[in-house]
Amino acid sequence: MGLLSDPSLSTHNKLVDSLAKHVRKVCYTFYAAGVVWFFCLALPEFNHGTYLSENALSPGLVYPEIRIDANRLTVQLLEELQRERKDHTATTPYAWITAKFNEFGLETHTHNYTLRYPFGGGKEYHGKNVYGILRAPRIGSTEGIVFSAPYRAPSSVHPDISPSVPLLLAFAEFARRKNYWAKDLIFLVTEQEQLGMQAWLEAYHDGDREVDPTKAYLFPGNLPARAGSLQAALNIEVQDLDIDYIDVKIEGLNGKLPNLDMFNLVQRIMAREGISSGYKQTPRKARRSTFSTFEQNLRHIIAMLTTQSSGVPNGNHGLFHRYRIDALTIAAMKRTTHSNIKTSPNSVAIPLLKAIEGIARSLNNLLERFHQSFFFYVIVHNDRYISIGDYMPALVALVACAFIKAYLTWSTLDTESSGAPEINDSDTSDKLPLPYGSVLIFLTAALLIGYLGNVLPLQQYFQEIPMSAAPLTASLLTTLMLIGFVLPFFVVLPPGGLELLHIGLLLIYGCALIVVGLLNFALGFFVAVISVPLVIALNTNAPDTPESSSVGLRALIRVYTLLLNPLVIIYGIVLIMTFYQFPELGLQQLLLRAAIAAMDAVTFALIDSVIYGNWLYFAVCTVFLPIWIICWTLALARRRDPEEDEDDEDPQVKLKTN
Amino acid sequence: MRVKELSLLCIAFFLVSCCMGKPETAILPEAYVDAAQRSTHTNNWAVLVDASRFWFNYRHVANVLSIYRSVKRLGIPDSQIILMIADDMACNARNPRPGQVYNNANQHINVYGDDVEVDYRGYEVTVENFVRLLTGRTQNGTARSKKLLSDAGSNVLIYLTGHGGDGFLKFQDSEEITSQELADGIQQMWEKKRYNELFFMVDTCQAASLYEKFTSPNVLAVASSLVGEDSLSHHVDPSIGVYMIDRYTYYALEFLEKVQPFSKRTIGEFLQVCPKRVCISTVGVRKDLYQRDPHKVPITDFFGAIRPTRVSTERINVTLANEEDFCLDAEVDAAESVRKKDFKVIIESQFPIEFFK
Amino acid sequence: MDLRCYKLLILGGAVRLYFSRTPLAGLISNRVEFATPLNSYKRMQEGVYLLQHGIDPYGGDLVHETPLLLRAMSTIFTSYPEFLPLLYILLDLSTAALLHLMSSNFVQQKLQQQRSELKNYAKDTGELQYTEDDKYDIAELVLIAYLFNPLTVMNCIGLTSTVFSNLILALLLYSLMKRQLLFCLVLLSFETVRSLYPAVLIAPLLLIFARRSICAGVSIFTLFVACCMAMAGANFLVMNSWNFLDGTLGFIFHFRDLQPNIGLFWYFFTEMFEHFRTMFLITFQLNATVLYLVPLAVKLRKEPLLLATVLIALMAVFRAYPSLGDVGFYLSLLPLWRRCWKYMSHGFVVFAFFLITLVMMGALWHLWIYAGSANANFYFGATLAFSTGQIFLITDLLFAHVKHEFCLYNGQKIIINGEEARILLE
Repeated sequence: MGLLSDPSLSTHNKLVDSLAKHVRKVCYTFYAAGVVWFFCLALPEFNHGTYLSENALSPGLVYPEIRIDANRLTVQLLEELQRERKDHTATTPYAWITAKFNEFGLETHTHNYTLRYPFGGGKEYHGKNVYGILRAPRIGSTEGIVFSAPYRAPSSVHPDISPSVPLLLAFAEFARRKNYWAKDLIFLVTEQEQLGMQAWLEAYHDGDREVDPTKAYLFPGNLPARAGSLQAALNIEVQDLDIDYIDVKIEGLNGKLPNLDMFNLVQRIMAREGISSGYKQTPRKARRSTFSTFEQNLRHIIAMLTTQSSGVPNGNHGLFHRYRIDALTIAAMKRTTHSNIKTSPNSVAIPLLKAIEGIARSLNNLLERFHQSFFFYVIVHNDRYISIGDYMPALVALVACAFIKAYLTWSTLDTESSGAPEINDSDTSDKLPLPYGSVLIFLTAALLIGYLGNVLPLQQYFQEIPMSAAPLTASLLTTLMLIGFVLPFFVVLPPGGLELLHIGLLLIYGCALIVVGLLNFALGFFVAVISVPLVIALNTNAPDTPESSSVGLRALIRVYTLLLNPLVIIYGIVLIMTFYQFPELGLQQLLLRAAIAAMDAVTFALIDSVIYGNWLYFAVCTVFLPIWIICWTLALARRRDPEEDEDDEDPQVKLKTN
Repeated sequence: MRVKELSLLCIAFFLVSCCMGKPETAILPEAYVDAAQRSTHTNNWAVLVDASRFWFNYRHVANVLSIYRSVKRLGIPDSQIILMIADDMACNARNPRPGQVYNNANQHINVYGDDVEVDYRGYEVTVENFVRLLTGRTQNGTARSKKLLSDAGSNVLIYLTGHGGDGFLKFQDSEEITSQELADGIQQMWEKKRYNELFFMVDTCQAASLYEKFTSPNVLAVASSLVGEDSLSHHVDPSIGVYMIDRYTYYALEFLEKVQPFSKRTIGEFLQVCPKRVCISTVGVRKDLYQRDPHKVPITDFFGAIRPTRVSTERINVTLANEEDFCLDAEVDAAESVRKKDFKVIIESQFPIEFFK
Repeated sequence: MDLRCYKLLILGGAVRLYFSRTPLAGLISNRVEFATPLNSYKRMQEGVYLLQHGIDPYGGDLVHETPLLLRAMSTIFTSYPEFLPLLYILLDLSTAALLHLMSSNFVQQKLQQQRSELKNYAKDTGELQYTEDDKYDIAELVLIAYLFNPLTVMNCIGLTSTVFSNLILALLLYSLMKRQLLFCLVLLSFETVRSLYPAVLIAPLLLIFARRSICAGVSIFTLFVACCMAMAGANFLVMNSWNFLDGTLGFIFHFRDLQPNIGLFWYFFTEMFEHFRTMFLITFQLNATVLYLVPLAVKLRKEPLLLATVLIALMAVFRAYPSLGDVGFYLSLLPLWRRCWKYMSHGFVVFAFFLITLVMMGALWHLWIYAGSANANFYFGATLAFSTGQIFLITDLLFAHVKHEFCLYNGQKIIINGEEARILLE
């Protein structure tokens, strides 16, 4: 309780004072500790072997009952589908899929949805999903499992995954003859990539809700039939029946992951069927590498966090996570290597079908939602993971820098201002008044700029400008950014304002990182790693004080701040990606292409945020942009001389500062 | 002949109850020891409990139904078997063979046959109900089939299976019974003269911890594993996708299947039924509370209701014995005097507690 | 009240009006941090509806508002629901105005008291004494603290009935300053029948009005009890049954609704074995009411308003269904003790604590309820940290007051044997 009842009469703490002198050293130590901890995670001592903690799953206890006739059916269906694809080059052969579902005796329905594209004058797109429900024979339709296969028309730019549908159909045909299903099975064929899946999920969960046609962009419609609360989902993307390996995709919307049990279950079953499978699996040739375990692990961790940080799901499974449904995608890759060990065409689809059957029977055994194992984890290797308790300290150490610095800056602020009353012992004020009001208004202004970035691009009057979506959004954002950029040149805070702003920044920044890190660790961590050094280095001391940094350092900080501008970062990332994708381009072309791609990326992020509920765009605009503006203000550190008149201030600021 | 035996038994029992808890069988005259090895029970009861639910615990239901099948085959009527099953596996939607429960992957015997009477089912299987059942403190309005109506002449078989830990057995998914609660329950049964001898059989992990706290006399206990050991399942039926039966129960059943109603097999043999080689866990046995030599006790004393009957057309006088016949210092004389009277049948309570008043 | 204050009031009203028209309002009225089973707008609506249709609102498990208030609100709820936000804003603004008046009154009294004791003060304690300007400054600070505190703003736009509680408490404090005994008693009894805990505020009342005369104290207390009974009787007249007592006070005391909130009750009572419930119920309720009452009343007998502030703050921490609106109310009383602030060493830490925990509450609630990946323990951790922060604040204030009083009479710099003096708790 000594903390609560500090017996000292003096208001100063000597320890704090001495720490405050070395605030940067303290913070850099914490920063280094956080980063070192992160690297340590790749060491085998810091991660654990995976295990199944949900007893009910009992994976691999059943012999697969799927027989050779299922293979025959698959091959036959695939041939039929290929014929259909010749007639439907840009659309889905609904009739054929519906006919097959009906033929297999499933309760078959179609689902229509409409997308009102936010840009380009509100053009409408229509889409259609087909799904069949296999009702559990001996239990009420209270729970369901989804097996989905995205359909891509031949005109699609993405790799062909048409064998997924025959595989799904063949499994449906097998499943219908079994009597042991305790959950309804939904077989779903979606189109238009994630849009169809999103529409179906929204229709499934909120289909009966009225939508405001002026505000909504995706009109999911309603479903004619449902199958209770969905417990789990498996998305199947098969490039070819003859598979080389399986890549298990888990990253979902906003970096959410399925329960680790689900991943382990799939790994377990795949291993039993002898299929090479794993997280971020690569072809066999590439797998043979000379890296040490540590380096391999680290690459794996960083690869996973990178995928997670964008918040964009890397498969249709990711959209399920929003509705608390654990889901993942098994992406079966076409065999390109080892063509000499091609499996016989008589049993080519059997391993995959058996794996799906095994997964289905395990999921069928579930008694409640996945809850036993981790939801927050990082996969180090196919059978090793890091749990939240182990990786969170890295982020906490980074965030701690901000709060420590805020506290120490505050305590020095206190000593500076309380020195004043000794000199002017007037009755009116015994403390140098800190300009809380103007700082608050400055903060609000910065936040407002960010908020505008979030809402403006979707306003009716901007959408009516005859411009395509990408340049429009990008130019709006750039304009806002420029306003933020010049803001510190026009608004100069009164004395003490910068220090106060600095503390405000540190607090907002720390809180923002905590929240972002909780919701999406990967994003929070990456942002922290690149921005914490800046936040530590920022210094608001007047240039003539002894603690102030040299001119060179000051310039460096300004350059670094400019580099950390969200738009610059986005451009930088896109540039690097473009460079790797098109190494043959010249510099000028590269820069141009990256600029176009970056504009597209911004627009896609915006569309993602309104259609799928990805909050990356929102976070960048509403949180990181204002923080950057404040950082920029502090990096410029333009301060007003005390005797200078308060002319350039806007009237509201004046109102509050007195 | 019969009379002599009975009277001897009375005395022997008296002696035994004098040195309760400290078995000193060795110093007793051989005749009494022999007599003491004879069964004195008049009826048999069985309480068979499966305490765990959920589909992946199929094996526990199979365990308990297998034991049920055996005791019923050996002659205990349904009215004297209390069967508690926490979940309905036969009608589980995941069961590929609806209405059937097997205890073996070769699926010879459907243990959930046509004449299974489940007395406590589903959520009725609670610690409270189990303890009430044992101690006879059932609530008003409890059906007769849900009561253990045993008396001082009953041999009671208690079989428990489920998920256990050190000192407890989990009931359903929400509560557990501790070894102390079990011991208290059995002590109360003893005090209320609700059993003559009790055979306690338990198949869970760390099962031996459950009988550690017992203090009541005439209890023979066997457990599938010692403290610190897991009990393991025997095999999987890949067509159903669950473990079929636990190892200990599997081998116990293998033994019981060979027992016929008039078999000479003894409890002693039964106690050795699952050596560590096949069970993987060590079977724990507790004999110190039990007065008789298990190798001389027929297995049907607990697992059946086999009473040799002799039809007599003669007239038999039934007189109650005097208390004087059983005074402390004249036990041997009394025994001899009884031996002389050929036609007198003495019926005496087996637990002469009145001497201790 | 000068022009500036009116401007501030109008600005505060504008802020509230703006936010009550954004989707934020709907969100807030459903957030557990603001809307508890006791004060939520939905339940009030339900109660009004049931009352109008002649159904006993307390027969169910939803309505826990007193019949008097339900009856009073029924016209506006049914006939002019679109004006409801306006009404709540007006009420909130009058709360702010009352707090403003109360604090300038309080400083006035403090100045008078100071004048009479000035000769006892140590020399260098100018900055520890209230000044003439404080009459305006402190009052304005209180006003700003109430008007622009995000917690009170959101509480207001969420249309929780804590707005009424705050108004009544502000009125009570105002009439305490004005020495209106009867008015005080009526208000206090009304609020006591509504939400039980304010009963402890009888202590500052007694300190002010009874002035060490036991006789007066007893009679005031009797009067208070009589007032409470009369208030209950008035409620009875509305309902014609005593059901409401169990529906309001009984509901609070027995803690029947385990819905999560920012308090300490819910998690504990969810996790606890049922047969300990009565014991812990009594322990927790004693903790929230009388446990601190006597020691604090003895210690702060010369500062009834500080006692009232601390009691209101403790209530907000320990009551069964606390909401952030309660927290906002007592935070706005803190500027009254501006002369003690010098000794409040944890101000910044507490502020940062509040900020972090409140932000985390939102994130963890999302992860728990919507994403399903976190669980109740995470959320409870955040609320527990928040409560700890509040306790820090209260103890800090109390300790600062003690130091302040000490320094006022003994000077700020006391050197004993060449070292700085320290206060020891004995």
